Amino acid sequence: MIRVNGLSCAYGKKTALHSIDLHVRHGEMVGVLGPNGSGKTTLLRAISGTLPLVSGEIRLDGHVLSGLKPKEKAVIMACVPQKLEAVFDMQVTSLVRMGRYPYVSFFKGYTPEDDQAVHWALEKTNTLHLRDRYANQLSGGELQRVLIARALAQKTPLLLLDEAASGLDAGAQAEIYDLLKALNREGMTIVSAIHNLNLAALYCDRLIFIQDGTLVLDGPTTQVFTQTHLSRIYHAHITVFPHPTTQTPQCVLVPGSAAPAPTDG
Amino acid sequence: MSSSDIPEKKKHNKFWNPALLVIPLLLASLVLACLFGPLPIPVHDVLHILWMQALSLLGLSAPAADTTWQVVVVDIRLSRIVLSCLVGACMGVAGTVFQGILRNPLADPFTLGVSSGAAFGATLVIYLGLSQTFFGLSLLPVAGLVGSLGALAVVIALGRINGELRRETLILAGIVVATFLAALISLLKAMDEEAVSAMVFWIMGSFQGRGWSHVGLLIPYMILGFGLIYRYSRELDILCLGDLQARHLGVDVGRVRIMLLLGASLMTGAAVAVSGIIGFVGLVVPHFVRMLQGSEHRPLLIMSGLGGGLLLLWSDVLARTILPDGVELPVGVITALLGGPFFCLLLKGKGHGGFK
Repeated sequence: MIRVNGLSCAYGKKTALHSIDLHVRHGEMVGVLGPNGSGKTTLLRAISGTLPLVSGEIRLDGHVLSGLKPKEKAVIMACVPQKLEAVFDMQVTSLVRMGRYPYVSFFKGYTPEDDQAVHWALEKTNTLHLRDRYANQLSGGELQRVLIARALAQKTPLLLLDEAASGLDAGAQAEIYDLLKALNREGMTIVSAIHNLNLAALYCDRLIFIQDGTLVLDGPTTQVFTQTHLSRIYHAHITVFPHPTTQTPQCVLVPGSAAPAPTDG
Repeated sequence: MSSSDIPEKKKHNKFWNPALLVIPLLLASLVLACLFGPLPIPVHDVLHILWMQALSLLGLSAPAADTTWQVVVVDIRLSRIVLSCLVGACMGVAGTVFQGILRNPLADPFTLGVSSGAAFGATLVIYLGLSQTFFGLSLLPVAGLVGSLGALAVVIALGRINGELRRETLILAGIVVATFLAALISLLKAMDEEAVSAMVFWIMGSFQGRGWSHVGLLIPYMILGFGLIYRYSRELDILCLGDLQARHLGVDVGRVRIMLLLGASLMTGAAVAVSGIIGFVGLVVPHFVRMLQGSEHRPLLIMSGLGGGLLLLWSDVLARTILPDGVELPVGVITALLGGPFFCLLLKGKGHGGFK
């Protein structure tokens, strides 16, 4: 689904990602983890095609990303942003219908098929009751579900999320990740940057860790989510234990154990 | 506070279309405004002349004889009224586009230096002594149009960083270009003191002495500009979410933005070229319409056009009748006098919409 080879990215002269290799298969749910500023968002932006690459290649479904037209890209991959840049006075239905943009021609306008897709996406994300509300009246969790609905309306096999649930309360987070998990079970490939380690371990089958712009760890959650790895990457003493009901690994911080992070010199 | 505490906003009713109210109002205004003027012509004669004119336009009667009243009503009053209406429509639509693209409530057709370009073009032509008419058309409007498109090209070139056209850099580039052109205009004024009054008169904005030839000059650019804008109106909706999301949704942001800027600048440039610089219409009308209509751009563009036309039409009627003895005020004075307080009322009132 996604094949990244030797990817490097930079902001100006500052390199943000160093030769990343990554292969995401159809139907996977991958969590992208790493300390603040490690390059999680940069990696997602590069994959979503909104950041120029310094070197390397990204392929989506076999197509070279840079060779795809904007609309062609938008029928393969949908993205859910961290937060809406500006919340306009816009009805939920109109917002979700924008997800149909790559399918709409100027002369035909929106077809019944588009309306069906919008309805389906609203139903799927449990936001049908919000459809006549305005986006700027929604709570954080509701808005995020509406944005996921907009991404679903694009009917893409691949969904990219950048910390889609950060800043939300536990209930809203559970709602969003339960939804993503359900979508993943139906065959959707999901790649999500996640700030919260335990959420990532609970919901993702595979985790990748980015540290200082390098991919340092990649593997099944049960194998990579360990005390040694986490303590090394986050420069703190972190204890891992099984979740009482699901047995997936979870972690807690041991207070007073933070080690000073090595400086770059 | 749970979200259910917030009152539901009134839903847009599909059967209630404000355009149905504004279009008859606009048509009635076109006729009504013909009644005002320094030469007293009885109401029924004005109506008769207009009726006969309409019939002859439709080919239902022979062209009317050129009586004095006929000339005054059709060639002096009606042409000016139609022109002010079209210029107002251009300003309303262009203002909507500039506010949408720049996502800035303070943007108007002049933010990106398009008007300064037009003013510079016209001033240069006056300075070079080329402002006399050739074949019944003045070189002035053409110079204004060329100047405004030239200014836009410079702003886009300056605002493009690493191949990306960013909103903030666009606004900054617009301010730089506008300031630089204003300085050049001052320079030209200082270099030729005899032509200063002609330059100032042109820049100030007025419909005095404009006629059907100006209407003819404006219409092609207006149609072209509006066509371009309307073609990309759906993209304009999406651009309001920000560049990143627009890109995620499959919008070719760079190309769409240039097309919209071009369309809006064509409309602005042509409007400024025939009337000079008339402020406030392009700022106030889009705001007002946005509060009434919400932020979907197709109805917004149409209503801003109609509203701008209506506002400028009546502003011009006031401008030419409010002072005694046929002395005219610049119409820009009226739009600012009417628009300013009205705008304050709207902002303080409980209107919704627009930019938060």
